[in-house]
Amino acid sequence: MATMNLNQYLREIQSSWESRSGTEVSEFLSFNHPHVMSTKLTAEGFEKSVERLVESPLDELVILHLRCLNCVNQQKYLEAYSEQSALVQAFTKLFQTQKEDNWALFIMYVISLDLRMFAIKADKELAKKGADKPGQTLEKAAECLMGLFRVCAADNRSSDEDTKRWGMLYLVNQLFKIYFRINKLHLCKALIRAIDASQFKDHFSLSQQVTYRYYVGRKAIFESDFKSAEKFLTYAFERCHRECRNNKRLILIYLIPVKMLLGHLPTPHLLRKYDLLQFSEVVQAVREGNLRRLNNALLQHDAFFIRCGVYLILEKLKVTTYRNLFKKVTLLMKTHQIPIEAYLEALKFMGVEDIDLDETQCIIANLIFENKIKGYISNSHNKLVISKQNPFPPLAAIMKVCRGKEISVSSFNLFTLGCVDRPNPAASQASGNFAGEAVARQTSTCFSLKNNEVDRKELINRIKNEFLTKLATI
Amino acid sequence: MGDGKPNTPQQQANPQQTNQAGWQQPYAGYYNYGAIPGQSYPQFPYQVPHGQMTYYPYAYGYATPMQGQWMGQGTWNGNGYQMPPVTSTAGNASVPPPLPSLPPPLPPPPPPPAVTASYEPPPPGSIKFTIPSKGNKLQKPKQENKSPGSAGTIQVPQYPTNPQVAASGQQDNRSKSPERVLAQSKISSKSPERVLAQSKISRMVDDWPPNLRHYIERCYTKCQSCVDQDLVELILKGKISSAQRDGIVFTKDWDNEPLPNLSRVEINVPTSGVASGMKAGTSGFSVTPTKAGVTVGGSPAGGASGFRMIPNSGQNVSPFKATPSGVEISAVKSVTSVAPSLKNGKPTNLSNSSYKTGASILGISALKASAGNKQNQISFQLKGQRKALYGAALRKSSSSSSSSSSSRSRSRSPIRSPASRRRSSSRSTSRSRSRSPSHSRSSPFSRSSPTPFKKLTKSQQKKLKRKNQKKLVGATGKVGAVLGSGNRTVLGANWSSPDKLRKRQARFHVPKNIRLSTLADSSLYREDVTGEEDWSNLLIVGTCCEVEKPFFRLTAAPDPSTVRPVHILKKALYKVKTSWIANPDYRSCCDQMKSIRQDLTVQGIRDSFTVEVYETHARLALEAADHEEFNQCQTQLKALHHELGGKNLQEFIAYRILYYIFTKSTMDLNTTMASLTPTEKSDECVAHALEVRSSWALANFRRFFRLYNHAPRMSSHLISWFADRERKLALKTLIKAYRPNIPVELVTTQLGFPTLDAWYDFSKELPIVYSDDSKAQIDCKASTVNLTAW
Repeated sequence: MATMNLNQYLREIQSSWESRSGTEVSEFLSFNHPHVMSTKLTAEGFEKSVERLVESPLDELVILHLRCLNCVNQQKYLEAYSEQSALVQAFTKLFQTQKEDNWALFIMYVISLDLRMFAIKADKELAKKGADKPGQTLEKAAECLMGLFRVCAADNRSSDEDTKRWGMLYLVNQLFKIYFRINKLHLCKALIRAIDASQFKDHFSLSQQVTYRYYVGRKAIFESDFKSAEKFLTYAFERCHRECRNNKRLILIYLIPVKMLLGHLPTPHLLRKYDLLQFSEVVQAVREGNLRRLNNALLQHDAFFIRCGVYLILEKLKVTTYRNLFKKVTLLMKTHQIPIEAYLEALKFMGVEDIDLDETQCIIANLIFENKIKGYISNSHNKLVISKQNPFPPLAAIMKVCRGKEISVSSFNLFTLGCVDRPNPAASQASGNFAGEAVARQTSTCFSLKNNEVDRKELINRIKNEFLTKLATI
Repeated sequence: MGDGKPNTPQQQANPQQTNQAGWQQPYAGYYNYGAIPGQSYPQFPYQVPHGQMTYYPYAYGYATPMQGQWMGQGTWNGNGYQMPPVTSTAGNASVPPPLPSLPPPLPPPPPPPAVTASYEPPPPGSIKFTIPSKGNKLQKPKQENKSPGSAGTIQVPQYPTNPQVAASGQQDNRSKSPERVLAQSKISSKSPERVLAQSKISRMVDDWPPNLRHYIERCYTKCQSCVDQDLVELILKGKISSAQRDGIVFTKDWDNEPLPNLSRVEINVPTSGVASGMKAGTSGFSVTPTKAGVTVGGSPAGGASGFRMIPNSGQNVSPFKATPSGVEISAVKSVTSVAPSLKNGKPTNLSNSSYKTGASILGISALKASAGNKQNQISFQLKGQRKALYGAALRKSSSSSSSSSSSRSRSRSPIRSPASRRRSSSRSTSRSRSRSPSHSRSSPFSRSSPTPFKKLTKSQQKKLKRKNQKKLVGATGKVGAVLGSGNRTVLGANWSSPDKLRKRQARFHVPKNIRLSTLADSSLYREDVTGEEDWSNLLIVGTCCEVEKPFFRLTAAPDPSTVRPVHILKKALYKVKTSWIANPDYRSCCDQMKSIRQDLTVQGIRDSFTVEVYETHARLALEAADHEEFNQCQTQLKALHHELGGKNLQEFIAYRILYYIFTKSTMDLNTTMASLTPTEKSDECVAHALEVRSSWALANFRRFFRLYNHAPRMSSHLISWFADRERKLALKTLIKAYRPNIPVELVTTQLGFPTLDAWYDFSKELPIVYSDDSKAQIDCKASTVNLTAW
């Protein structure tokens, strides 16, 4: 294949076109196929041979493909992009004329993928030249793909087998990839609506559905809709193919923070398995309620977290950490009426320097507001009065996860998610990790203390040593 | 909002204190410097001791020959800027006077051919040739057989649609057969004449002063022949139009106006005199109407020769050679022995009759009509000639009654040859003298003629030619080529549709702007026009010297005369700043700032001054809480700072972060944070903004409002935009968390209210239940009931 000559290539592509074999033609137009290695295809004057051997309308596509190949061989990605974009546009026109037929969808898949790839490379080339607008080629590519999308979405007369609407999800995924790269998430909304309205919503191929869920989940994170983000990302993680470790890792980068925010901490094993040890410190800090450790962990890996876009979620874990810390203090105080100063001292002990009583009250008020603490603050006594029953309910059981957002959560549903249907052992194993973790927590009323006997003792000793005298005087 | 204002009351009362408290040392109140006399602010470049000239307009590297004189004038008064002589600046010196803004108005689509066909006044030059009056009578019945409608139907398709085809098809032939070309061209220049007549009549009836009418009458009485009459007509036309242009139709002393000189001698000395006349006429100014009229009228052909681009075509075109050519045509005709009915000028008579009827209908003087028939004769000679050239087939088809119509249609064809241009030029001479965009003249012309080319002034034609030299492709090039080669005339053909005309009109702007653009830094400025023309090449250099200019959103290409150059803009910015301090009227200041920004944009200026303008406007918008303008400015500043840097870069990063909090755009926050460098993070403003963001994300309102009250520079303005939003949320939290009561005092400290009044102002809309009458304690439980309704 790699040494294929031009005539061979042209004959094969022509015959596969005639036999309407979408996959074969798509291979010959793809850059993921050995024929691109052949140097003979782009010999001088290939256009004439193409015109001779390949019939219209395929000849235009082939010529553009070979021209693009020529540019790629010379590392000219800007030109390659423009050729590929011409190819996509030519195909769009051609595709539109193929009524009641969708065998060419495979061609659409490969050329749109290549278009995006070349756009990325062209943007890099432009950036090297000092263009001021990043992502401008990608934006154009997105427009190009939208043209294809329209052709697909508008094909609602054909029968279910032959409709081009089967190609919608693939294009949506390609567009998602572009929009996320160029930070134009608002453009995703219409695409999501189109897919939601599609009758094939749950019948697209699994790989495409996984990709789709991954991006929709990420989008939900940015909209602070953590509940649905968890749903989508969990789906993606569980259905993702076991061999696609990198993809699973990518999903986990977003799934872990969301799960943590909702009260499910990942096991060290999971983090090790997917090489996400950046999170392990964060997990430990949250578990301990160790604010200082959390701050350090965030600072240490902030580049990674910000690049992935999860920094802002991880930062919200501070609230969880406050809760765990305050819970420890409460347990130490062994009473239902805890002076605010006790918490203030604990916070100061955790390295929060410029904090006063007002701010401590503010933090506690927030925790009460989010139902993370059952109780109230008595201002006249300057004390926190906590409920005698389960004053620190498990996070996973809390109705309000984020501020102002009502989410009905049945924690058991969360844990069992993915256990019912396990097409992918790796996935279920991973989700099993989450589930195991959560179930363990369920049984314990004291969320983090039991898991960390050593830490707890150390902390108790410290607090005792340093603050007990102070606390006693209050 | 009211008391929800960011500033503490003390700050509001005393802006200086605000600066000391909030803004840090190097930033001593951007707009308050004027209010604190004697204090100097290094970042403001124009600051000089009071009483002296506070601002020198050329301080930015503009070569100014007037500098010394200017400085010595001592007339500077501080608030009204004395305008420096514009021409003295280097930038302006190279700018030519503004060109006429638009080419003449579009001619409407061609008139119904049936009407046009009937009245075709002749160009005066052709009158001399032959007047076969005998033929008139002979052919008259034939003409009557033909209904004008039938003639029309034949001509309709040919008129608007065919010209280009015909033009391209005949180009080759034309060069071979100049006679035919000559004839054709003569034919197609008929229409203006008719218009003239019409327009004149209508004018006379309408609104000409009596002494002008007398004058016209006197002129016509002087005429001895119809030739003279035509000449007089032309002359009068020139005079009146020029008078109209100058607006002196009613004031001019027509009684003492010299009568046109109709001596033959003058006609016979065409070229030189007319050429000068042409020149004077087209330069558009200062030609005495008399001279113009005489020259033009007296030697229309000469006018044409002056106008013609290619000398060799003069052979065919000069009126004195036209006579032999006319003879030649008839000779050809006789040789080729056309159908007998067409011999001996019968077709001419035919058309002549039609003229007469038409003239009577429209009330055109018989004289003119008779003049018209001469023109027509030529058109039929052409027909004969063409037949000779095209051979038997054509001859056969045109020999019958259809001949007249076919020939007519051909004569109407907008293809124009040098001779026709000669006519049109003689006209355009007079018109270029009039140079009037006045509707009274140009519109009737355009009504009759499908050839707007005639309306081009010479300068415009020059432009066309220049464009052609620039090898601009397209129709312009075609026209240019036509002009260049002299023989080919595709003129009207291209302009027959309004669309094309509009395109053409647009093209006239392009070279102007290109020529004027001396700032070649278009690479810096690329507007996002997807697939459209690249407007970034259209940078201009303004010539406007008004310091203040109201903002008007451009709907067309910018006109340099309304755009201010940089040094004026600097003055304008200074003025806005001072006026803001004196009287913070945001609307007028914003308007001024927008117009400054627009002028900078259309001139493609992106330098430190641009940064300053945008920063200034952003600050104004901050103070006035104008979210949209602030967003525009900060978006621009993002790009500008990226390109050019700037000492306030970090400050505006901070504002951007705060703005994203305001709009709650997590995504943008994330990207902004990802792009921060450690040095930027350590900047006071940025660090503050990041802390605000963090406390906002964690709903740590106590910290948030503490940061709010200690905001550096103008951050507090921005935070004030969403402070109340956060206050509401925080109040909800407090009410839910505290039992049984919460003292108002605690709330005010937690929520950063400067005074108790501010709190009451804020809370008066909220359904808060107080547990005591003095409103010092909030009953939390009772208030919680209403929480969800917030």
